Amino acid sequence: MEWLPAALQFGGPLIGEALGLIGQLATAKTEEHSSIVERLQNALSALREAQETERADHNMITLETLKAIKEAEDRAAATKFGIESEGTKP
Amino acid sequence: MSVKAFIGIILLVVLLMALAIWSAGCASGTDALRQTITNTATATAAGYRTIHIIDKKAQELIQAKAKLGDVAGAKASLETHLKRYDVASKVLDVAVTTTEAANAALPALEKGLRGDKDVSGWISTLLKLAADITSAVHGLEEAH
Repeated sequence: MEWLPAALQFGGPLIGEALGLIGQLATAKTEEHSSIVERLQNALSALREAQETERADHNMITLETLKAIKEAEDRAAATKFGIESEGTKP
Repeated sequence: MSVKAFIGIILLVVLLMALAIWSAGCASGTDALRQTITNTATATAAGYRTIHIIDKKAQELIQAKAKLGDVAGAKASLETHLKRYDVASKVLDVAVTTTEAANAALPALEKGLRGDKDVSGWISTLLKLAADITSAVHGLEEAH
């Protein structure tokens, strides 16, 4: 065990450097990872919201279009009926 | 100092450095997938917003056509528009399902229960989807 003090004197700073580097890498990675996870969760929430909004708006505007077509059909039918009624008057 | 001790210390330092590099590499694999999922989700949400604008404009034109009395034209336009819209909408719905499936697979991938091939498989699937979204939205855009 007489080699231990010499080994510690030589290896101590090296091991300290390596541990310090690992610590720095771990901290940087953890911060980067947290930010990536947060961005992902935000993007998924925005996606679900965009999908739901678009679906609801599409259904609503399609109903409005169908209503406009139905009204136009009714108007055309009423006009035709009116013309026909005019034509049968004595 | 003995040669054994010297070699032991060097090996310990090398081992610690390798551990640091390996752990950084492991995290970046799934984080790369996370970033791809984020990009696909953002592109899909943008796709929904774009088809919403196109849908609104197209249906307003159809409504105007109906109000002018062109019932047959309005009906035909609506039918064509809804068919085109469904194609684009389905691509986006598939993107939502796949994006959520990739997100659900992340914990297993992170724990190393599945290999790197699964990570790269998900990434390439999502990249292909992003291309499909772009072409589907452009397809609907060009049709109008």
